[in-house]
Amino acid sequence: MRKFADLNLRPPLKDQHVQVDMASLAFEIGLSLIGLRFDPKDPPTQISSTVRTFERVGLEVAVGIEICPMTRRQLLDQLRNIRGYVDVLAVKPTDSTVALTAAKDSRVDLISLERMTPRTKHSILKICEPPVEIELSRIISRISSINHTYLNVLCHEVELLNKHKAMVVISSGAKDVLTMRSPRDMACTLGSLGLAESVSLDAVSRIPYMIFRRNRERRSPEFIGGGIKLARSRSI
Amino acid sequence: MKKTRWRYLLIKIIGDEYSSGEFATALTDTLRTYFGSVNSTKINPKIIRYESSIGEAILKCRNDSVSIVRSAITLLTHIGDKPAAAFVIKSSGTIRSLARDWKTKKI
Repeated sequence: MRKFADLNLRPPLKDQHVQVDMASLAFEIGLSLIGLRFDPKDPPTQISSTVRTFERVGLEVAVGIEICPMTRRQLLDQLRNIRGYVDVLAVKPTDSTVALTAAKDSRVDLISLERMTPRTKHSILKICEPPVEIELSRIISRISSINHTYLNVLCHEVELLNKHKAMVVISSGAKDVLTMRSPRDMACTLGSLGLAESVSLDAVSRIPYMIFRRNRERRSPEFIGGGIKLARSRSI
Repeated sequence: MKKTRWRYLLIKIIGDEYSSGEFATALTDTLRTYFGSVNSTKINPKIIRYESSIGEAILKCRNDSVSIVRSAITLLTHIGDKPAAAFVIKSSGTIRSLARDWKTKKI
């Protein structure tokens, strides 16, 4: 049986009530893994308290950081500083050079092509190693009705993803309960935009879990290198 | 003639308290906006049961159009003028199993 995940929830750090509501709704709509997305500047105490709120309802929680570097140097510095401390590292590049570097770097877990032009998206997808993240909050906003321009951009992005057979992760990017969505519903929405059914279901289940497990393994004290694990230690 | 197969969806609606008619109108509007009038007419989802106090509904639609209905539910952001969100909690081929869930929750 599939286990579902949403790797991009952004609960308000200071509002405990919203956090509790989001956690219980996440459990009710069938999510078993939640990725909480924070800013690198958020205080660690508030991050850990938010994580505890979500864990209390019985969800697995992955701590994620989203970085929006302006230059290539900034990207590499942030990757070096943050990588070891988080379960999910997402990059939202603002520049094509940054995007091309992020697409080739194995430390990047998710890359968003939201701010890229169609031509840049095409060249990034040719060499892209990490899965591409599609945030549903791009088209769903609780303030206004669905934005057709973004929907059109998303359709073209899905076309490119299909063409390059890229790995995809679908997430909600929800900031409150009204922007959260059920994982199967999100998969169906992307399916109706042209993404293959199996790809869209994997995008809310298999691939997020793969990212989470790989990074948890890397962060464990037994991990030494790719494929090498400490089996037994002896104190001298 | 091939027999029509139906699918029943248990839906949770959050936001304010809405009437069955308001929810049906919002869903039909979303279907019409994103999938066209023809598709909307073909799918023709029907609300079988609706409980506004707990914000839950049972919806009936054709088996081959479940993904379109689910997409419409995802894209639904407003009911009337108020912000809202809807989620498919469970999908089933028989209304009996959904009704069982419905009753269990009410107790």
